[in-house]
Amino acid sequence: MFDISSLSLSYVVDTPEGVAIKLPVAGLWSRSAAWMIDLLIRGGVYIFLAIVLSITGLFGQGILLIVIFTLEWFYPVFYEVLNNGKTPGKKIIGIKVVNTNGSQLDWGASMTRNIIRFIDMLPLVYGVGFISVLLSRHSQRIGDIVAGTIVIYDNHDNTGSLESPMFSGLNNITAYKSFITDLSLDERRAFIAFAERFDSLSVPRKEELISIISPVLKKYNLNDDIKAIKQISESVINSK
Amino acid sequence: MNQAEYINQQSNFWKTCEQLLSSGTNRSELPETYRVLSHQLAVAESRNYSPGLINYLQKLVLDYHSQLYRQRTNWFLSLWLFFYDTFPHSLRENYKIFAVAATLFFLPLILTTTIIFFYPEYVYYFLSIEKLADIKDMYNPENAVLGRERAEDGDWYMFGFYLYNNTSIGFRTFAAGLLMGFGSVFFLLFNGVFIGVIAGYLISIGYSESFFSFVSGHSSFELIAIALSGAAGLMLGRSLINPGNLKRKLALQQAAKLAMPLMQGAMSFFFIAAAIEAFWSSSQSTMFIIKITVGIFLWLSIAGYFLFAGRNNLAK
Repeated sequence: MFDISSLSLSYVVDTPEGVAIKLPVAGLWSRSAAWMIDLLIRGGVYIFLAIVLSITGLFGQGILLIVIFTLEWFYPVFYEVLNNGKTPGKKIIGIKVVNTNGSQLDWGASMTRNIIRFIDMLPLVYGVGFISVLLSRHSQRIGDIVAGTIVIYDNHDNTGSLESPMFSGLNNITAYKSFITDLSLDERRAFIAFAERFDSLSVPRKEELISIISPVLKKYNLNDDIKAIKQISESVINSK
Repeated sequence: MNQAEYINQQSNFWKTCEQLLSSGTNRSELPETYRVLSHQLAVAESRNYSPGLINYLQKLVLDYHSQLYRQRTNWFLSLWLFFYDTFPHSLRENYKIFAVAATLFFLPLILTTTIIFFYPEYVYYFLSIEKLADIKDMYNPENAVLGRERAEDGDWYMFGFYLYNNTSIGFRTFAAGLLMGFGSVFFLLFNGVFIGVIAGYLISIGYSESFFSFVSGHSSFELIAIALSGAAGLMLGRSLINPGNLKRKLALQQAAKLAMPLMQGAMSFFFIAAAIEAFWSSSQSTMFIIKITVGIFLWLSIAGYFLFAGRNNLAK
C-alpha cells in the first residue's frame, strides 16, 4: 500500500518534547477568502475616514494618508504579532500564520513576509503569490518562504473539540471479526477516520468514499451501503 | 487500554488543560501540563488510537507549544535596544554590502548632477518639459514655501504623502532584491540618476540656494534610508546567487533575518525624513545658513551614530 502521508497537506514539526505535531496547511482558497475580508475591512476604514475627515481639509487628508500607509503595510503585522497570527479575516475563516516551527510570529518575521508581499503582488493581483502557493509543497507565498512562516488551519475540523462524536461513545459492535483481522494498520485507520467524520460528511461524499473500497468488500461478501460501512468502522474501533 | 476507557479516564484532565490555557492564570503549571500532554499524544499514537482522538491531542499540544515557545517582547526595551545596539551594529557587520549599495546609489547621483550642471541641455534626455516646469515651480525662490505647493494646513498632508511615497520606494527596493538582487540594483541606480538629474538641473538654472535650503534637512535620513533598503535587498540577492553551503531557501531565510534590522532602520529613517521634509525643510522663514548648518550637522551625527553606537557589547 502506498504511503498516505504523501497525500497529506500537513507540515510536521518535531517538538523538543519528542512528539511530532502536524500543522494542517491552509490552501489557496481559504487564504484568498481571508485576504478578501481583510481588504474589505481596510477599504471600509478608508471610506469611513475619508468621509469624516473631509470636513477638516488638508490636515484630514494628511491623517488619511498616514492611516492608509500604516494599514496597507502594517495591518497584517500588528495582528499577526499581537493577535496570535490572526488578522480579522483569518480569524473569520479559521486560519492563522505561524513560524514553520509552530511558534508565534515575532516582528521581524512578520515584517519580512509582509514587505515581500510586494513581490507576491506582481504582476497583477497577486500573480506571483498565486503561483507560489499552488506550486510550493506547503502552500507558501514567496513572503512565507523568505520569512519561514506557514498559514495553517486554526481548528482543522470538528474532531478537534471535546464535543466531537468520538467522545460521545460509539455502538459496541463486535461483528466482522474475520474481515477486520485482515486489515492493515492504515486501512483500519481509514475506517476509523470514516466513522469519526461520519456526521460531518454529506451523503454523496460518503458514497464516493465507499465506492473506493466496495470491490474489496464484495470479495468478503460484505454489504457496501452506508450503514453497513459505518457498522464495520465502529467495530474496527472496538476491536482494539 | 481500549480507546474508550482511555478517553473516560483522561477527558476531565483535558478539560482542565483547555481551561488552563484559555484562562491565562496559573501560568507556572503550563510547562508541566504541556509535557504530560506531549506524552499522552505519543502514547495515543503508539497505541494506534483513532485519528479523531489524535487530532484532538495534536491541537491541544500545538496550542500549548505556540503559547510556551512564543517570544515575549517588551516594546520599549526592544525599541531602545534596536537603536542603541542592533541597528548600528548590524550596519557595521554588513558594511561591505552597504558600501556597494551606497555606491550604486550615490555614484550615479553625483555623476548626473555634475553632467547636468555642465551640460544642462542633457536634462531633456531624462525628463519631459512639463515635468521640468513643475520642478522649477516647486523650487522657485519667490515661493512662500518650498517643495510641492500646499495650503496653509498642508504640512500634515505633505507628511502623509512623503511617508507613503518614500517608504514604499524603500520597501520596493528591498523586496526587489529577490530578483537575484537585480531589482535592488535597478531601483538604486534609477533613484540615484533621477535625484541627480533634478539636483543638477536646479543648480544649473540658478536655484541652488532654494534647492539646498529645502533638501539639506532631510537629505541625510532619506538618502541613507534608500541606500539601507538597497543593501538589505542586495543581501537577499546575494543569498540566492551565492548560497554557500546552504540550500538556497535556507540561505535566503537567513539573509532575510540578517537584513531585517537594516530594513527596520531604513523605515525609521524614512519616517524621520518625512517629518523633517514636511515640517522643517519647506519653511522659507528660516535663514539659509541655519538650514545648511542643521543639514550638515545631521549628516555628521548619522555618520557618528553608525560609527560609534553599540560598540560596547551588551552580551557581556
